[in-house]
Amino acid sequence: MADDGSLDDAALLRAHVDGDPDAFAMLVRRHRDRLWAVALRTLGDREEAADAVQDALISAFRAADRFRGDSAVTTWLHRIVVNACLDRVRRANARPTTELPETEVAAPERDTDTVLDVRAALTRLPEEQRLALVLVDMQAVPVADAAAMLGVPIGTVKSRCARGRARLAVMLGYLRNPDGSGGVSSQTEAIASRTEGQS
Amino acid sequence: VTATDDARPPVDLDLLADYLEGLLTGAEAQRVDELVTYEPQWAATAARLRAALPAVHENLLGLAEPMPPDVLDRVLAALPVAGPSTPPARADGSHPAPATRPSPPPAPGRGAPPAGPSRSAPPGRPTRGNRRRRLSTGAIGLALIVVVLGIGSAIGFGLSQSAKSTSNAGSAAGAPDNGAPHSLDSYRAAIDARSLPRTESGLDYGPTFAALSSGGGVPPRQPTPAAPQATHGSEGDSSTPPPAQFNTGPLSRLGGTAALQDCLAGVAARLGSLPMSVDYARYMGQPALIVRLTNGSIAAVAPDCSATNPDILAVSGG
Repeated sequence: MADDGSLDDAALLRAHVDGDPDAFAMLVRRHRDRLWAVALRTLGDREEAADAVQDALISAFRAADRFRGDSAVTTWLHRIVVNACLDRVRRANARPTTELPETEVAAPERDTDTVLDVRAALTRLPEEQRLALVLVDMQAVPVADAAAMLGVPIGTVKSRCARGRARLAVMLGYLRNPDGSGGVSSQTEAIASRTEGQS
Repeated sequence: VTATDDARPPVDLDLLADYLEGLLTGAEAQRVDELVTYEPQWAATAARLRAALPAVHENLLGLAEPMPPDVLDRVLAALPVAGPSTPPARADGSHPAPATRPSPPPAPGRGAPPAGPSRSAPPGRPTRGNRRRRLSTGAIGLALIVVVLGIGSAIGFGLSQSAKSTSNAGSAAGAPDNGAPHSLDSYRAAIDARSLPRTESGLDYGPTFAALSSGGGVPPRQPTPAAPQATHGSEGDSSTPPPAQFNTGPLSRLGGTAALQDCLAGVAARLGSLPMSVDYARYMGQPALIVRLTNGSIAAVAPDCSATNPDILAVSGG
């Protein structure tokens, strides 16, 4: 069944609950790219993201009859994907890790001329800031909707975005002195590194 | 701007970010305001950060990318077997119930096979037995709907090409979903023929995949959920024989799970999409297996369909 746009998201979800076998797939196709972007950039790993999206959409598929319509369907879907991602992040954090010690991701390397890839920089942000930036900056989700998806106040989303952008600016080398002499970038990055995870 | 000056307060990046976003109020806002006004390092950092924010935003915008077709296929293939709403799933999706880590080897890429949970599903997650019970109700309903769609809705599908030639069968459906080479093995691993909804409508489908008649005397039957076959797989959780109606006629070979699995892997690899259901029927008067794919297309394959020679008779547009 082709999506001719004649049914809005809520109507598609109702059709799914009423037994239309194609309705939910259409909903997925409609929002797949945004849901994927959230998962991929939050988890930073393609396969983890695929698993998270699949977990989330199966969960939504089954829980559709409990959607009360208090928010937009897309907000509800995003929230489910976000929760699936956070579950995975928490499980990963609970496992023993072989990641580099914190000192190895701190300031000194920033004195080189290498600008970190934006994706890599994003993965170094605390997960709360990363999620907020993915939703608000990458996906242009309104802050109020992002707050609903994340289950936090609007001001918290704004702060997470602001702090995340600032740390990205440091990691990407935007705060260096124009003449290339040390200074602000190194010290600020050191501060950013020390405070990672505290937000 | 110097790097260090212990007599001066170091720049607190989080605080500065909140300040520039206008999130601070009262005494705290006033304190940062003074720092930015009178402390050179705070002032310089604030100026550079303010100037950098649009570029950071642009960088983030450039990270968006579409969902890969194989991931979409995998997700869509998992949905029909997910079954109807079940108590463990929460409305907000936290702690999702279904296990999706695949049994090895994975779906195209690494995804979970459409069958859903792995055998090593942890407590609280659906076991294979539970899934079968869900399928026994969910798949029947789905298969019924598939039959109805095959008769009615499928009229809207346009036949892109009808070709008996197996060498051209892949292109009969147009390019695969993602335009990338597809691994037969990965599709074989991703498909679970036992859990795929099967029907034996006996209908004769025409070029648009609309049913022309009931075919060569084979009356439409009630859809039958997929039955496990002891000769395929080693779960040892069932010894139920395949449905009797798949054991007769020209399509009887494809009634066996192993042959069906093989055939569907060939079809999926050729067309770049996973199967959702099959109907033992006819196409333009010839016995044919009608395969409905997750990308929305429908394929008719001949009884000698196999992995290396799917013998695709025709494919509708997806």
